[in-house]
Order: sequence, then structure tokens, then C-alpha cells
Amino acid sequence: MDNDQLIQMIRQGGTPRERAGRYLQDKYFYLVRQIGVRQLRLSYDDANMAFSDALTELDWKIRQGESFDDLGKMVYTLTHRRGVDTIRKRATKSGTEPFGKPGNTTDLPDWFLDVLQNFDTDHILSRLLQHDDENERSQRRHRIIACVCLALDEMPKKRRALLVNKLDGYDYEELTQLHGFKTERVAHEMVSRGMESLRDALKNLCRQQEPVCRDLCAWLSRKS
Amino acid sequence: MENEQLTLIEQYLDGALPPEARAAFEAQVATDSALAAELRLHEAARAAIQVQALLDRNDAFYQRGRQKLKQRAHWWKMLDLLERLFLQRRADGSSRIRWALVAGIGLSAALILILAVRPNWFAPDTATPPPPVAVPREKAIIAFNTHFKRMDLAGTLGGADSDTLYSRARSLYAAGACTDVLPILESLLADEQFESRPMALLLKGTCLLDAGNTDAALETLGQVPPAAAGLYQHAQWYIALTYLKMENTAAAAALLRELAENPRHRHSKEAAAVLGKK
Repeated sequence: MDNDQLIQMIRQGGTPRERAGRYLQDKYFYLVRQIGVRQLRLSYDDANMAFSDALTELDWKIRQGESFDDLGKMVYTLTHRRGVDTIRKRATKSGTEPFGKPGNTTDLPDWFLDVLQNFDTDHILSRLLQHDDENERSQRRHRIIACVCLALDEMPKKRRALLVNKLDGYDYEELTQLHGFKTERVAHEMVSRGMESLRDALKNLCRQQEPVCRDLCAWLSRKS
Repeated sequence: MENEQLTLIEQYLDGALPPEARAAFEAQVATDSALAAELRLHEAARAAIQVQALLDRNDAFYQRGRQKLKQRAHWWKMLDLLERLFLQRRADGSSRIRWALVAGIGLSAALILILAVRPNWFAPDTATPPPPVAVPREKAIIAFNTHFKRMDLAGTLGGADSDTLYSRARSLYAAGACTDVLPILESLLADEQFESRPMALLLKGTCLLDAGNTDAALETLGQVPPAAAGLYQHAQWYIALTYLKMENTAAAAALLRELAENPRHRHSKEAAAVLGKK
């Protein structure tokens, strides 16, 4: 598989994207040891985490429309960056938990929050995160992600997985097989219901005036 | 919100609306605040799923990576160990091979290999040979009495010989009548054309030995030709017994050792037993 094929498969989503992801992971897995363990002196587990972050970021970038001449070089660069992030995080770990629900945003890598901010300017998260003050932008970013995670937590895991698969590019035929629905129509109905329950969860959080949801709720309820 | 409008919002967010419909929808959103709020809610829900998708994808890569690590851990840890041994890391992050260590281990391995293949290469075998096994003089006669038996003629050639004199000699020998056998054997051996000469010599020698005439027995048994392979081996055994009878233990031991060390000799085990070997 060459670069163009892999990029095309990732953009296609669904099963081809899974295959491309596995291919890249198998092909460049040696970087876990080469960069993570030998160069940066990370543990094998941390190195694996840095490598997984790199693959996720690459996948994300490709899905957002970026193109790369050499995927191998990019995986190498991203793995190195994520490894360095890990070292930095270790060195500056404050131990404070800014939100009530640890395990949501505090566990998220920095790059993850960055990529969410670097959506195209029209994207909801880009619009939400617009702020002149860097500190406020960072706080807002954490709050919004925490709020989103709270809403997701209220959904059953299976329904969440269904919605994720739909967004990942699986068509209704594949969703029917993957989740064991009787017909594609049922799959369609379940996706609609899932989205509806997620919207309800967000509305409920706003109604309950959940502190971490204040930015998102303000944006949702604005007049213009 | 009506289903039709929800579908319209989804299509708008999917980018599936044609340009005119898209423009019309955006115009409607600009004037209808309820629709605008619903659109924002849909966007927020989608963003939430995107966040979840990213987390799931990351977790899937991580879990699969852990499985792969399990499979490779031993091999990689062994490589780490070898690197720690053979590579010297410098402060700037570069490394160099410890050639002295590599050479030392290589040389040791070569030495071990040579020693395994040719153990006497460096230290030739200087071990002194074991002392000769001898028969103590006081036990010579006992050994003779224990081991001497006349030839067992069962299964040997010549039993149905047409030469009736030879047959008679064999019968008498088998019956233990050595005194009667000896004159017959003398006359048979006097005939140069006699075909069973080696056996006759053997019978005569053992009879002489049985009678205690060791010198004559030694001379007779010594005449059994080596060409008579099996009978020659019997003759050697009886010669050794003759030496024992004569209490010539040195000669007996030398011959017995020769017999004992030849595993194909008919009397090798008996010779070893006389010498006290297992």
C-alpha cells in the first residue's frame, strides 16, 4: 500500500480506514522502541501511548483534509513530538484536577485538545474557543471538552459506539452487520435516536446549570 | 421540532444540501432563532461524537499496541540488554560499539568451541595409562580351577565324520576319557593328510592340560594355526589357563588382557572375569 492509497482509505472511513490504521501501526511499530525507548528513554508503555497518540493524530489530520508526501516521516515526527510531550508532562505535572470528573479532560493529551481547536474556523469548537486571552481559551477548551464528555457519559456504551461508527464513515449496511440490527432501517432509526438522546443529554446539562457546561450552554442559548 | 426540519439540519451539517437549498436554509436560520438554536445543538452533539471517536480511536491503537508489545517484549528486552552490554552511550546521545568487549567475548566463544570440538588441542592427554591388571600368584591356581573346562564339542564340526577314528576320539573326549583319547589323537596327528588337525591339537592340548602336563599342553596348543579363527581363539584361552596352571602370572595376565580387550573374542568376558574386571 502506498501513501496515496493509505490516505484515500483513511478518508473513505469505515473498514478501509481500520485496515489502513492497522497497516500503519504494524509497519511503524518499531518506532515504539526506536524513538520512545531508545531515544527518549520512555517506558515501553509510555512509548506505546506516544505512538498511539501519533497514529490518532495522523488519522485525524488526514480526515481533516491534510495530505502528506511521506506518511512514514510524519509518523516518525509525530511519535517524537508526543514522546517529548510525555516527558514534559511528567516534568510539569501539577497534580491539580480542575474539573469535578477526572478521567475526562485531565487524561486527554495536549495534542488532542489542540486538534479540536484547530478545526476549520467554521467548526463549532473553533467558534466556541475563540477568545483573545490564551489562558481563558485554554480553560474554556477544558470546560467544553469536560461538558461534552459528561453528556457522552450519560449514554449507554453501545449507543455511543454506534454513533462513533456512523461518524467514522460506516454506512448503514455496515452498521447493521456490526451492531447486529435486523435491517438497515433499524440501524438508521437507532442512529437518529442516539443523536436525539445525546442532544437531550446536552440540554439536560444546561438545564441543570452544570458548571463545566457554562460556555457551551451560553453558546447554545444565545439569541443570534 | 418536526422530523422534516431535523432531516434538513442533518443534511445541512452533512453538506448534502444543494447550493440553493443550502442558501435558503441559512436564510431561514438567520431569521428563525428556534431553528438556529436547534442547529447549534446538533453541531454540539456532533462535536461530542467527534471527541468520543478520537478517544475511541486512540484507545484502540493503544490496546492493539499493548498486544503487540506483549508479543515483542522478550525480543526487544533482549536487544536492550545486548545494547547495554555492547554499546557505550556518549553524553551527546551517540553511541559506539565496545569493540574490546566484542573481541573478548568472540575470542572466548572461539576457545570454548575449540575445546568442545578438540579437547586435547591445548592440553594433550598426558594421563598415565592405568597400571597393568595382573593375576596375583596366590590366586592363579584358584582361577585355573574355576575357569578350566574341557572343550564342549556340541555343535562343533566333525561329529559325523567318516573317519571313524576321529569320531571315536571325539566321543571319548566328550566322555572325559582323556587317557584313552591321547594315543588316538597322536596317531591322527601323525598323518599329515588329516583334515581336522586344529581341532585335534586343541583336544590334545586340553587333555594334556587336564592331566597337568603343562609344558606339552603349551607346545600343542601353540601349534593351532591362527587361520583356524574360532579354534585359535579357544587355543589362546587354554594357553592363558596353562600359564595360570604354571603360575606364570605375568604371561597369563598379558594374554588375558589381550583377550579381554578384544570384545569379539569368544573368551573376552571370561578373561575379564579372571582379571577381576567387570
